[in-house]
Amino acid sequence: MARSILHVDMDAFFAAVEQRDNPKLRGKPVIVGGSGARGVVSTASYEARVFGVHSAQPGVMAKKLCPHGIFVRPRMKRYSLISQQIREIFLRFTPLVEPLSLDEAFLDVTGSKRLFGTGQQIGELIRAAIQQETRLTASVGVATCKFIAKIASDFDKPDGLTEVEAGTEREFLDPLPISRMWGVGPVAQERLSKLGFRTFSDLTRADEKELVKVLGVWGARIRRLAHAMDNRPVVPNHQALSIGSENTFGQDLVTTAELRARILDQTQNVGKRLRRSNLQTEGITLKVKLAQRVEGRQRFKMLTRSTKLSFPASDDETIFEAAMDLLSRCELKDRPVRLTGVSLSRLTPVGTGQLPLDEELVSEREKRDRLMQSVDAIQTRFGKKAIRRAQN
Amino acid sequence: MKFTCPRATLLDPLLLASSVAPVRSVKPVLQNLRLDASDGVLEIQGTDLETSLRIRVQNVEVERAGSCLLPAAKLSSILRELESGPVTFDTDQLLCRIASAGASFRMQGVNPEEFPEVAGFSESVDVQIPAALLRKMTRKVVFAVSAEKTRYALNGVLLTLRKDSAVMVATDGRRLASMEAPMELSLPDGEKTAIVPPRALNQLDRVLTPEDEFVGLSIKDGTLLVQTQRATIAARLIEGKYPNLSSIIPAPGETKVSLDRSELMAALRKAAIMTSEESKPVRMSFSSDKLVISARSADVGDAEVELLIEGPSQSLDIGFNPEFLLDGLKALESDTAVLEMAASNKAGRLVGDPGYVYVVMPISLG
Repeated sequence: MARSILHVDMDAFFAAVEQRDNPKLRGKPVIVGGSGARGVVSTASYEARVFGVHSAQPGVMAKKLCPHGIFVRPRMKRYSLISQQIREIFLRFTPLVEPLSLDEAFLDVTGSKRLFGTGQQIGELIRAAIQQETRLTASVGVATCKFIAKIASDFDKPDGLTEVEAGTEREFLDPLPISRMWGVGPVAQERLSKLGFRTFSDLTRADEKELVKVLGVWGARIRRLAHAMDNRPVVPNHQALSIGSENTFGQDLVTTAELRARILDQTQNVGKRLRRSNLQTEGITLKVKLAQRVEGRQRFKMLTRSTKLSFPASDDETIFEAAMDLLSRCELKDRPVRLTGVSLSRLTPVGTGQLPLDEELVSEREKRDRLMQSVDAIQTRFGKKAIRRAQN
Repeated sequence: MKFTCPRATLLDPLLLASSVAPVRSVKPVLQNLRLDASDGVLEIQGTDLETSLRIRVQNVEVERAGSCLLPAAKLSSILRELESGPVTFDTDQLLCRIASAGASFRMQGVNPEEFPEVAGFSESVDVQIPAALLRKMTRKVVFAVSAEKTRYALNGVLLTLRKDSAVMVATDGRRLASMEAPMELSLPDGEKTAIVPPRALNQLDRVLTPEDEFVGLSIKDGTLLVQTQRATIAARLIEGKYPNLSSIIPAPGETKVSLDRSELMAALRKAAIMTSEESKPVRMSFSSDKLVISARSADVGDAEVELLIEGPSQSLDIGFNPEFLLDGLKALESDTAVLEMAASNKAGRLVGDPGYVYVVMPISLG
């Protein structure tokens, strides 16, 4: 039996929440994100999109395109709360919910059809429930696989539903421009169109080897996707593969002391999230974006250094030590830094993993873990500023 | 300075010395090798101030005695590329001309006076240790040295010399290798210990030749001095406190299993294919008549390998990093390896060769 996969995508989620919470913003071009020199648009309301404002755009450019736009600082906690509310709506219809971010998710409703009706009907039920309970709108794509459902949800946006019925997948995909293909950015698009690939149907006729030559393994994958071959399952409670925190600074930083303070902040941020999920990490990565551009390019020079711990850890101290070690490996030598980021990978549940040989290490680790538990508890109860790690 | 000698006799010593010279250094002079020729002998020195090597080449035709200091990297490239046959080094002030059939090079050297004096090179040694035994001990433990910077003392091999034995221990906090060999050493009562950087031991392994029956050793002023027939190695010892071994090396566990070493290695290698970076462990399930080694990786798949064994009376499930077990099995020489375990969260011991113990901590399977 063909699967019934839904892709539910909230319409201009962050901006819509702001407009809902603040009646003065309704019907106006709202831009969630920073307008400052380093700000980035996170979401633009549909009123702002008319002017060409879109997410990931520099705030400065958005301001130029839409001078009367109203810039609003993102309130992630608020969005996260509402996202949770929406997730609970999904779970009434199926346990197979795979959130992709705060504002979109895949649902496998194949097994729910006897209870709730066809995939299309379930999609409409979910849209109605979201509308009623959150006063926000969502767009839904219904298809036999994740890939097509995701394209379909974007087809009748905002506040729409598009279904691609089993057997009609190729009919739906064939005329689409390759820009709709997942993971095909402007560069790949240009390379492909030079070779005469403009639509999905062109891709299906392509020689696999030729695509691989242009795009690497990715080439083989998109050819299969264009053929509507995508059997990836919907994985519920998608476990995080990594936890990261990064900031672009308002002003470039130069001194180690300044960088140290920022990296400590980022460490505490990821550390807290790690422990909240009851996970431990073995892989630590530090990202440093220099204020210096790559020669002949627009992009800034990025340094990435990673390390693997001998033992899994979940305390800030170990993560911070590793991150500072990675910073010294960047050999910055006073070059100004625009951004730093700390991310954790190789995540495993607490209580698993390599055991240490000597007692010294065991007791050291237990001490640190107990300390972190206390700090987390105090911060949860009395706020972030109630207890902090001293600098140096 | 002017000397001539066949490329074949010069190449190996030169490469050995230049492997000590640092590729990058705040003191650029260290990127050079010092050459001293006199009385039919050429001496080559390299140092990074941590480890230093002085190696002698015999039967060199020395026409004019003298010294020079030349870039190590270029020198080894030249020697590598030259055809076999005699090579002549001829210096004029700091300029050195290197000539061989069909090729000649000229290189600007550095004043030899600028090369640091290596401490201890002139001292005499305390004890003589059988070379073959020392080499064997090194090979059985050195791989377990920690590469992590946080616990500095673990970055070296703990060497203990006693009147009647020598012991080498290395650990990275997850596994430990220890080899004790009985030998008569001309030492007073008590013991001498040193934490030796693995680089020095690997260097020794490479400079030893079949002619070396004994190696002279001395530990003094934070330096280990090693003397072979053709070379002297001086290594700065690692300072720090080595963990208390008696608390680390566990007593043999109740569960003892004898296994065919090569069969076990093959089985571990098979199962290890299905481990991933995120989930490394293989699960070893011992029962009365078989051992099942299994691995699972969320995004790849799983593997199950079965070995018929004379199992323990009580069954046991324990997780290990297969690489760690394989390291220990590789270091063993006996055909049969004995794995001694106590519980799934207690250290396992691998034994088989006299004097050798390899301890591995399990991975908790959760």
